[in-house]
Amino acid sequence: MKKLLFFAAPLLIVFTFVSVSSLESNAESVSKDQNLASWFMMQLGDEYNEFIYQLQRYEAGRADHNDVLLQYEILLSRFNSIQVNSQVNRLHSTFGSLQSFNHHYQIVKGYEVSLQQLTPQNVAELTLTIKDNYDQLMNYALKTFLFTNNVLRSKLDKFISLRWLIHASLFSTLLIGVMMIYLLMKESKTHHQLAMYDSLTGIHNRLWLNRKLKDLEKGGKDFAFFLIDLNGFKEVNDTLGHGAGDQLLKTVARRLDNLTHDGMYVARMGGDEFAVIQVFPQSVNQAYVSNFLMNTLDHVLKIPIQLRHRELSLSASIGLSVYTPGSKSLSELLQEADFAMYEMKQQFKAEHPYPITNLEHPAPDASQGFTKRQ
Amino acid sequence: MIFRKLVSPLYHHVLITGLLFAGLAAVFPVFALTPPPLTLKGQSAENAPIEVRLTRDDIASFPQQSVTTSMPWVNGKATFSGVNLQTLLTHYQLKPGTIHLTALNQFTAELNWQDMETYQPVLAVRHNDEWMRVRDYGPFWLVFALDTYPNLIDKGFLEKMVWQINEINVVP
Repeated sequence: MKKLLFFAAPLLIVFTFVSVSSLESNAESVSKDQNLASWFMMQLGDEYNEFIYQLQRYEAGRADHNDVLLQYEILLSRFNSIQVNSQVNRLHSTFGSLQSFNHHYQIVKGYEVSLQQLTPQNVAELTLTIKDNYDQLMNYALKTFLFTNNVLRSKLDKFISLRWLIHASLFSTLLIGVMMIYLLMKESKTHHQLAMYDSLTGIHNRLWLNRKLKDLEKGGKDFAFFLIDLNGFKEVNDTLGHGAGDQLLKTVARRLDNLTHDGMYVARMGGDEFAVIQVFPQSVNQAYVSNFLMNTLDHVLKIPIQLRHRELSLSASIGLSVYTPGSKSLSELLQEADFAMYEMKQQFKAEHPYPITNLEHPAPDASQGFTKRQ
Repeated sequence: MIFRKLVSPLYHHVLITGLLFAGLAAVFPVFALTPPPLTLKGQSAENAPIEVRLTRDDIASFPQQSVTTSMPWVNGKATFSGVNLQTLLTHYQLKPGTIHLTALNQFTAELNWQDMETYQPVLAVRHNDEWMRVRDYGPFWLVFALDTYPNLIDKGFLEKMVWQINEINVVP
């Protein structure tokens, strides 16, 4: 779905840009063509008009035959210059005007014989005919080069329908853009979430813990911080292998996680180290709660762990540090807990020079003392 | 033989003359347009006004120069011959200045003296060895060698190639 979007969006944008620019150039060229055609027709109209004017002057006796013939020649040259002009071919294809233009040119050429034999007697009738043709030509030009022309109209209709298409694609591009942003944000959130959990055990990780501590510090909360180190974990790893070690860690993590409730949090710091936070509710005996939790943790961690064909008994060194706003910095908190844990660990090592983990298969009757197995 | 007997000699003469005239009228048009002449105006070195009327024969009597070029108003290449404009203007000892060209339909254009010296246009009266009628853009057309100087089109010289020239006025 995402891949489709990432592919479709730039495609749509490119398509939209291409359509818009082609549409613009199309419209521009049609407009230019109209202007050009109008200019040509205006010039032609001018000369044609001047020619009729000379005929009228001739009729009134104010112009001679030469004047009329001269203006006729000029009109012919104007027709010719339009016909030969290379730009005109394009105009004809836009407006479909080739045949009509040539037809009118032929009509004008046809005046030549009558003009040669021009006399004050036949000029009136000739002038009427020529005026009539002029009107026809100008009407044709008006109809063709302005909007009512069918060829032009169909082009403009296409133009209008294309514009609708472009608006639609612009809108969908926008829509896709919004969807992409939404998806990206969601993904970023997911990644963020993933980064906060330990992949092996599934509980929170150190990164999460640091954030949490900062939040609590900012929130001005009182809390107890327990740093837990498993005793003899290294030996288990060395003797039973990492698979067993992993299993052990998962078990411990699960147990700790099961303890959590509102205001109590658990995280895996790394290796065989875990952390527990207990936020103190208002007006509670902090020392009592801390002590209670300490015992609970100690007890929970001492419960034997059932591996495939073995049973292990672990214990943990737990260091406690209590935080009240302004009492210490976070790093001091961690250090205090660390020292406390270390002290406990040293004490443990002194008391148990040899690894405590039971590597033997349990005796058949040994199981009777245990009601709970994990 | 029989014809002579039926018609009297007087009528016979009148008939022949009439037929002759009709024949002539068919061959030669009743009225032909005389090519309108060109008026050349300017000032002499002593600032005296100069005005000359020139027919196309007058122009043709000068040493002729040819220009072969393509142009927007003619299909393919064409050869134009006439007098070199600078030759014409200096012949009448006109003081150099801006050259104003006017056509039969009142269209006007201007040409710099320096541009004339650079591009050497020809005041043409013949197109492919034929006199140019007014309908062929004659009798006088100022032709630049567009093929030799292709940049002239971009520089706007197309409108300086005035056809159906009526007047040339050099204003110092």
